[in-house]
Amino acid sequence: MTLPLGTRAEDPKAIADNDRVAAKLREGLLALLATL
Amino acid sequence: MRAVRLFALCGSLRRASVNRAALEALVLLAPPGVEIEVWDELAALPAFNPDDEESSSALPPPVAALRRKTETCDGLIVAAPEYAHGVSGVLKNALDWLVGSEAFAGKPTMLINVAPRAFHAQAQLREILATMSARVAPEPA
Repeated sequence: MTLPLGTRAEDPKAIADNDRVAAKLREGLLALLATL
Repeated sequence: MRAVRLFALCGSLRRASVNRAALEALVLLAPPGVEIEVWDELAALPAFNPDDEESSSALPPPVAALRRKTETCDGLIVAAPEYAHGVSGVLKNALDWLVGSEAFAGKPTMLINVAPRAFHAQAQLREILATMSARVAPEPA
């Protein structure tokens, strides 16, 4: 899964607060959980 | 009901690693009932040597810990940087130590790539994980 990261990418909270990136991460996590 | 336990490996040792930050963001975003452990010990693993894995009781302690955590987790998350068009050495070393781990086959695995222009390492990683019989989660659309 490739993330559309922008600036301040080294800050986990900034990543989590970025709606677009957070949505992608959640989507990837759900895809993983669906395989369990 | 017990929590789903996910074990995350960051293929970069860099202090301000973007891959590590992405994994820590995932920890913040995980829904209730999902625990994600981001492992910090990749640098402690010795260089892979098949002679050292002949007896599981003789495994170097960091290797034993890596195997134990991998075997007891419900799924793996791997965030991998690309170095010189390839998988980072520390990550490949860790995966080499896991080849002999019986519980690795079929392990659900999620890949994270933080660099849209880096595709060589992701392709290599998919090939390595397929060889190890991991079950890589499909790429979200």
